[in-house]
Amino acid sequence: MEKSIYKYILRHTKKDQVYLVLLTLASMPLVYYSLEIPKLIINKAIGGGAGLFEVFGYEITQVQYLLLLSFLFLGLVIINGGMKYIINVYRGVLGERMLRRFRYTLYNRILRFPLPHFKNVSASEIIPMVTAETEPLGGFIGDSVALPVMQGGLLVTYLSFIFVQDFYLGLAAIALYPPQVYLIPRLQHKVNQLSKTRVQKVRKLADRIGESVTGIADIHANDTGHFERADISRRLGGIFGVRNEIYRRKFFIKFLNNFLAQLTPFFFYSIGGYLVLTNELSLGALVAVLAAYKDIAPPWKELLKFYQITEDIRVKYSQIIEQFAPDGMLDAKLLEAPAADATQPASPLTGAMRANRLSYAEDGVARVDAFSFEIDADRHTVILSRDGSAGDELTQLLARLLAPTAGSLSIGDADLNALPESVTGQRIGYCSATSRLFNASIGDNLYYGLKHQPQVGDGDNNGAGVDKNTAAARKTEVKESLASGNSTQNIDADWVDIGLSGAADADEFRRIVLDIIECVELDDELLTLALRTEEDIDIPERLAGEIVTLRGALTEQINHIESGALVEPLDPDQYIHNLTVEENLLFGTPKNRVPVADFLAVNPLVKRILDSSGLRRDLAEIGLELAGLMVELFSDVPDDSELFEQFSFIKADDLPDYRRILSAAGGVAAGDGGDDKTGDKTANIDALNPQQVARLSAVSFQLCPARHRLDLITPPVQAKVLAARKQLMDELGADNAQIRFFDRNRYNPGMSVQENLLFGRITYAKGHLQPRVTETIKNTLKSTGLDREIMLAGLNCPAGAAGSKLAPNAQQKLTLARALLKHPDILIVNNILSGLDGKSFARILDRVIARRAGRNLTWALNDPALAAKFQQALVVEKGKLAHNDSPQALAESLENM
Amino acid sequence: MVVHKEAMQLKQVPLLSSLDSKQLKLLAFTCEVFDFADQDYLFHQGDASDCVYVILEGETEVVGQDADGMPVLLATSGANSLVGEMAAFAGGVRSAGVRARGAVSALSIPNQRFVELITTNPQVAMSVLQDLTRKLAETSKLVAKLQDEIETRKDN
Repeated sequence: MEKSIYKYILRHTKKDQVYLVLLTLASMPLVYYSLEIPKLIINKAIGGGAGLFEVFGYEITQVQYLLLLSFLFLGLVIINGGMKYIINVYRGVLGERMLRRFRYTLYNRILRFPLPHFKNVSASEIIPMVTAETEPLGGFIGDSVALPVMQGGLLVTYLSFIFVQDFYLGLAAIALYPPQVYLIPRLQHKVNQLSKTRVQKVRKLADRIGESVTGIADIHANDTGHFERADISRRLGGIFGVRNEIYRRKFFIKFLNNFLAQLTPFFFYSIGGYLVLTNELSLGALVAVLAAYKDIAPPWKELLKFYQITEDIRVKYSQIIEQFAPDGMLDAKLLEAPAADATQPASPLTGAMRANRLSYAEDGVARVDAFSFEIDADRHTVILSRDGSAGDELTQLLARLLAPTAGSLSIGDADLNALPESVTGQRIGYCSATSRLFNASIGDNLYYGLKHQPQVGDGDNNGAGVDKNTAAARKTEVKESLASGNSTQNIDADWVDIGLSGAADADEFRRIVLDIIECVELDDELLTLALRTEEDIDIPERLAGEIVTLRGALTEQINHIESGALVEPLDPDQYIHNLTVEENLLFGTPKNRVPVADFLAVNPLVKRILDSSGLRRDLAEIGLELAGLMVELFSDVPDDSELFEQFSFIKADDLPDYRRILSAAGGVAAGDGGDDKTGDKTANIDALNPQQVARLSAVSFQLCPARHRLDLITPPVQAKVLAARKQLMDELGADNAQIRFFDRNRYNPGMSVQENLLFGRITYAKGHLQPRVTETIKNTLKSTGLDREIMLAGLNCPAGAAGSKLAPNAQQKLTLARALLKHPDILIVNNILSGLDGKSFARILDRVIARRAGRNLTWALNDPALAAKFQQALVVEKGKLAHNDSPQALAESLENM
Repeated sequence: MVVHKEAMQLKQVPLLSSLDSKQLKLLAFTCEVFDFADQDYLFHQGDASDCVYVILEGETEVVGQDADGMPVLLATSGANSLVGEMAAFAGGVRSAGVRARGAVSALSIPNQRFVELITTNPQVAMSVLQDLTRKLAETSKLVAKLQDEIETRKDN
């Protein structure tokens, strides 16, 4: 990257800057004329006296002349404004493009950072550098050339005018420029250094806050809130101190500038006045010079301000790029795809892996000390490191995630460290306990290792049915990306290269995916997730039909667990006690996937039904009792308590509002120990305005009798809800655009697959039997063969941030599956699944070994008892290669010891 | 309201009797109540512990395993008693199973809530301590008795 921001700007925007300067210069005569014409209007058209005026050979009257000049002035104003608009937009676009380019370059460099560098810098330090700190650069880049040209030009023009009037006054006008030019940069230099310190301090602060966020549980568990606050206070104080100093110096510079600017008129008045008195200068000339000097001030001020901004930006730029040029960055060429045909998969790596005095040191400590070994392409090798040392480094060296500090590592004839990432990343698989899952669907995470390039060109030919608007938008996107030096590849394209997995077609790919999921024993968890998730996981139509068909048989199976009360069926003629009031009313799911409460709140038909049936009033009365109970129960609960989130009908922030509503209603509240203390509810509701009544009814919408165990939904209210439900269904009809009603003969994508299968809710009182219900469903699905199809749909479940929706072991299983799916020539597994019990681990290990028969598998683990499953054993102890032989030989040597 | 009745019943649970009615109502409102059929397990020995149960109605049996893995009845507990609290403290797995003898209704308090109750209410903590001490004393007596028995058998 260019060391100076000007070099960077010129390299990428030379043409644009020239264009901008030309535009600016072209606008100057127009500015001049827009000043000249008013003078003509006043002096000639108005002050010139009556008579005829000659314009381009035509004689016109004074009024016509005045109008001509006035319209000319108006025309110039419009043209000037238009020019300014064009220049400003051009500057803005230029700046933003460069900002986009700069951020993209920085991100690119992050991808090239050597892995150990991330031990020294944290995400919370890097992120603001790419996002917030680069922000002012965009504005500056547009101004960087055009502004000094424009303001400098104006300054030179005005100064020339003064010099023409009187040489000595000209000298007086610029007499104070040299001290300003000398002093200001020196003062500014100190401010720059302080700015640098400030930026560093803010970065550190961001880092510490980031640590507090990630370590929040430890702060609470150790009661170190005071300690942490003291630390943050010290850091904030440090930033305050620096800023304070910056302000004092910055405003001193401002003071100095203002003072010097006012000192010049002092010279004009005293020296100029003296010259006028001694008749060496005319009064008119002095007045003209004073007027011209007034015009000099703004461009000079602008130039000084620009200088200050330039300095500020220069510091910011150099500070940012310093952080993005660590030692040992991956060669940019290795990161780029081979130019020939990027859409073709990389050719396989063949031959044995050979390490020759392979070494890796960190902070001067040898972690891998001169290892020499050979691993055959089709061998299964175990790396044992009992003291936990070097397993990480050795496996990462083999996966080319680390670069050796000495020695060499080759595969066949190729030097591993000279291979492009398109080869290593496609042909070598690596997973470890810290392998990351992304916040996307489980499937997206599983296929992550297959997404090297868009599958059809840049993905733009993908899907023949792309409409005109999309195609045009995509064209603009590509054009802009090119202008900013960004990637032009289409993120919406199909990136999954199923061929890498060894599959010939989509059907085979699905089979391989399911086999791998079973291989790593992720099937059970995936099926559970697919069954229980509330997300719409795109169940194919045929499968949906089969699920509906299965409902009857499954109800029988469930009755075997416990007959009767286990599942409450979704009967359209019954009030369902395990649904909330709003779910009972809607008796379906909104088609636009908004939450039921939001749907009900805005739907005019629902509003009408609620009001005409009197249900709103009943619900408001119940809401009044509920609000009273919530105020009573939750008033002492801290606002940030999880209890609010999980159980309260009213958010912590809204509690005071409901207190007011309660007091407006006469302070009647449920609670204080009795069912009978509700008083005259009708009178209370009447005291409230319609908005308050609506809020109270919204509270009771969330009530679920079976879950909350509050006998508030009485049989008459239930009957009204049923009548309202019926009216809603009748008025909308079964096939409407808004609600998908619960229908025994139809699949409902708004419900989980499990609820679709049960066509009912597991009762809250039998919630403890949920696992057995799920187990029964799974067995039924397995017997019908539908489990694999549902699992495939389950891949659409979101994995959550960092895979948080999956248990830690399942997360690691998924990363192992991801590495297996790309069917790499070399598969390196680094100490994964250590949280599993020994039996399960050994079982998965056996399956993976079987799956990798005839292909390389290199697995780092700690238990020597498992070594016998492999053909070769490397033992690492304290950074040295202590053993490289067959596992049998290792076992013998261990016995001898 | 049912929650009020449950709160009044929780007052009868010795460990929770020192809580005021508002705290008990909040506890009842924020916990689930499960209905167990006869011989249904509340939890099995070796299960990961996630909650403590307060028996609201019915009777439960504490079941261990003998050397051959066969179930052995260790104790019974009736209404207003607390079960599963040991694992909540130890944070591990259930040391014994508990199953319903006849129909049982039980309030399930998540471990985290239970520990919170104890740490924020010294009276509750004291009661828990007394209860555990009593259980420890009973176990010690049993151990002493078993040792005696072993000695006698050896002598014979």
